[in-house]
Amino acid sequence: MGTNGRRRGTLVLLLAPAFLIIGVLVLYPLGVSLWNSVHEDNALVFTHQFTGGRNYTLVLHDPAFLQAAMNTLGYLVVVTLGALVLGLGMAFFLHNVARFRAVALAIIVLPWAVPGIVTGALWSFIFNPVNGLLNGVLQWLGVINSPHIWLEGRLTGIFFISLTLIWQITPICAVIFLAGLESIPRELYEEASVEGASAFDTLRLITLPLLRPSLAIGLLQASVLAIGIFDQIVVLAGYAPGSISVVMQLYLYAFRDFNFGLGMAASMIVTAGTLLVSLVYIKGVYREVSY
Amino acid sequence: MNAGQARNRRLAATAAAVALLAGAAACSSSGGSGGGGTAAASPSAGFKPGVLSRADAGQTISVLLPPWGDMAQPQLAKFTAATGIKVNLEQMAWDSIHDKVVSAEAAGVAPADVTEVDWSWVGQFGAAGWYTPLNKWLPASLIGGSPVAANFSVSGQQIAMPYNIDFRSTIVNMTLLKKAGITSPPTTWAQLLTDAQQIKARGVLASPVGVPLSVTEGTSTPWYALIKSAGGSVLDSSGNPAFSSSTSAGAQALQLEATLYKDGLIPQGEISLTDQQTSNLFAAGQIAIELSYSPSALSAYTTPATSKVAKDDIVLAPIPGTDGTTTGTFGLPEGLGIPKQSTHQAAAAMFIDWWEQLPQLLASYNNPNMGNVPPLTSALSYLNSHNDLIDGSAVMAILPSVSPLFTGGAPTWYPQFSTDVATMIQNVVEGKSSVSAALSQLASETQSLKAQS
Repeated sequence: MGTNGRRRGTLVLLLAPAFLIIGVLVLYPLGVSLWNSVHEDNALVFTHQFTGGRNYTLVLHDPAFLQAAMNTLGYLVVVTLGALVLGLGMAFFLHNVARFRAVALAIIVLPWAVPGIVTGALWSFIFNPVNGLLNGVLQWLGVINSPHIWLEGRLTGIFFISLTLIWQITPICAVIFLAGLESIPRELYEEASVEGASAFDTLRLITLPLLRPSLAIGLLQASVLAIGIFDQIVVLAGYAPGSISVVMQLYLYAFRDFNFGLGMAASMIVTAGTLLVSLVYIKGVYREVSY
Repeated sequence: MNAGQARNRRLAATAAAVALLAGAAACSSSGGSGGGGTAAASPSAGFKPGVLSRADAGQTISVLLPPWGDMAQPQLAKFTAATGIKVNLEQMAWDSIHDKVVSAEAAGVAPADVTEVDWSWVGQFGAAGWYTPLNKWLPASLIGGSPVAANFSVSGQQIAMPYNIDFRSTIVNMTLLKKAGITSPPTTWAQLLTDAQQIKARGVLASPVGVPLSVTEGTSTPWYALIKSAGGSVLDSSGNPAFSSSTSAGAQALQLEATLYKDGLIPQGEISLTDQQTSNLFAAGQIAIELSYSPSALSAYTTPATSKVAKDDIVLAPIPGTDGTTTGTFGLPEGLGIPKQSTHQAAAAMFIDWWEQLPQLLASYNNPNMGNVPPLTSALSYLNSHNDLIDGSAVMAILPSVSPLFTGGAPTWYPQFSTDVATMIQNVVEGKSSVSAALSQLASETQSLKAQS
C-alpha cells in the first residue's frame, strides 16, 4: 500500500466514528420517521398500511396544526429579534469591559444552562397574575393599579412566552457574537480611526460585515430553539390553542392521540421548515470573511 | 469549488444537521406501534391469587411510579424477604411515565414489569390492549373491596388496581367564612354564590372562590365535578354528550362558573392558573373555597411548613349540588398495572397484591413523600377508627357517592376531549362565547372524536 493509500485509510478510520454517530443518531431516526410518516401507524388501529402522502395532507389541513404553525412563526420572529438585539448588546458590553469580565460572562451565561421546564416554572412565578413578581413590582412602582393577566390573549401570550426563551438563548448568542467581535483585528479599527470614520460608520462598515458568520450561527441557534419551544409553553399556558407550538402539536398527535404516523408527518414538515429557515440564514446572513 | 464555497457548504451541512436533529429528535420511533396484538399471559396452575409464595424467588422486577409511589426501601425489603423477588423501583414524573409507556409499547417492549396507570389513561391503554387483565391474578375480594376499582375496568377486564383513592370534593377555610358571618360550608350552588358575595362584601377576601381556568386538565375536572354533584353526567350511557340541552347539568355548571368569574368571585388571574397554583392560593389564604380539589391536599393545608392557613379551621365538604343533595362525585385514582410485554407477570402480580395489603397501604399514606389515601374501604375504615385519617368522617361520608366519571372507563378520545373542555370553559368565562354556543360546539367536536375512534 502506497503513501496515498495509507493516508486514505487513516482518513476513513478517523471519519468513521463521526459518520457512525450521524448515521445512528440522525439519519436512522430520520429514515424511520420518514418511513412511518407514509404509513398508517396508530396504536389504537393496529395496522401499518402504506398511505402515501395522506398523513401529510391531514396535517396540512388540520386547523390545530396551522394555528400552531402561526404561533410558532410568532415565537420565531420575537425570539430571533430579541436574541439578536440583546445578544449584540451583551457582546459589545463584554467586548469593551476590562474588569470582572470573566465573572460577568459567567453570570450572563447562567440562564442558558437552565432547563426549559425550570425556566417555565421560574417565569410562572414572575407572570403569576394573582401574586406574581412582575405585578407586585409594577404595582409598587405605581405603573399599574391592579394586577395584570400577562398571558391573556394570543399575541400578548406569545410575546411574554417568547421573553422566557429570549432570556434563555440570548447568553449563548452573546458568546457567539463576542467570539466574532474578538476575532476582528484591531488594526482595522485603528485604520478607520485614522481615516476619520465615525463610530456608526465603523459599526456599519467594519463590525457588522465581519460579524456575519457569527450572526448567522447565533440566529440559527435562536431559531432552532424557537421552533422547538415546548416546556415553557406547557408550564405557562398549558395546551391553549392560542399558545401551542408545532412541536407540541406533533407531540399531541403521537402521545395524546397515539397516531404516530401523523406525528411523524408533522415532524417531517417541522424539519423541512427548520431547514428552510436555516437556508435563509446561510444565504442571507452568512458570508465568508478573511482578514 | 473554491475554499470559500467549500466552507460555506460545510456550514450549511452543519446547519442542516442541527435542523434535522431538532425535527427528528422531536418525534422518532423504532417502528410501527406494537403491543396491541400481544396475548395476555395466564397464571400457571400453581399460582394462587392473594398468596405470596416463593415460586418466583430470584427474579427482579422493575416498577415505574411517580414520586408519590416511592415506597421506602425497608418496606420493599419486606416483599423481597417474603417472596425472594427483588424490586427495582424507578421514579419518574407522572406525565413522563405516560410518554415512556407509549414509546415502549410502540416499540414492542415492556416499559417496566409494573407501571403507573392513571384513571385518564385507561380508555387508550385498554383499547390498545397494552395491559394484562388482573382478574385472574388478583383475588376478586381485593378488586371488589375498592370503591374506585371500576375506574380501571374496560369491558369487564381489570387492567390496573388502584393504589390511591383521589376524588373531587370542596375544601373550605371556615375561619375565613366565619369572619364573614357564615357558619357552615355551602351545600348548594345558590348558597355558594351568596356566601362568596358575602365574603367579598364584608371585605374578607376580594375573590373567595378558587377554580383554575387555564387550558389544563385541572380546569376540566371542576366542571365534571359540578355536573356529577348536580346529578348529571358528562356522557350518556351510549357515550353521547349529555350536556347539549340548556337545562342539562353541564350547561348549568358552565353557567355557574361563568357567573362566579363575571361577578369577580373567582380571582381574574385564574384564567392562567393551574390547579396546583390555585391550591397555592388556598394555602396562602387568598381564597376561602376551593370548589373542586383532592382531599389529599388537606395534609399540606394543615402543615405550617407548607401553608399559611395551617392553624385555620380547614374542612372537607361535598361539592355543592343544585338542591342541597349531593348525588355524587367522581374518582381520579391511580393504579398499578402489568404491561403484557412484561416477562415477570406472576412476580408483578404478587407485588401488586402485596402493595394492597394494610401495612403497605398505611406506609403509603403515612409517608410524607407519598400521602396516598388508601383505595380499599377496609383500610380507610381502619385509619378512620384510629383517628389517623385527616377529616376522616367527611371522607367516609363522601366515599359512598364516589363513582367513575365514565362508566366502562374513560373513552379513547378523552385526552383531546379534556383539552377541548378546558378551552371551552376559558372561552365562556372570558365572554368570547356564550354557554349554549360553546356547549353546542363541544358536542359537535365530541361526536366527531367519537366517530373518528
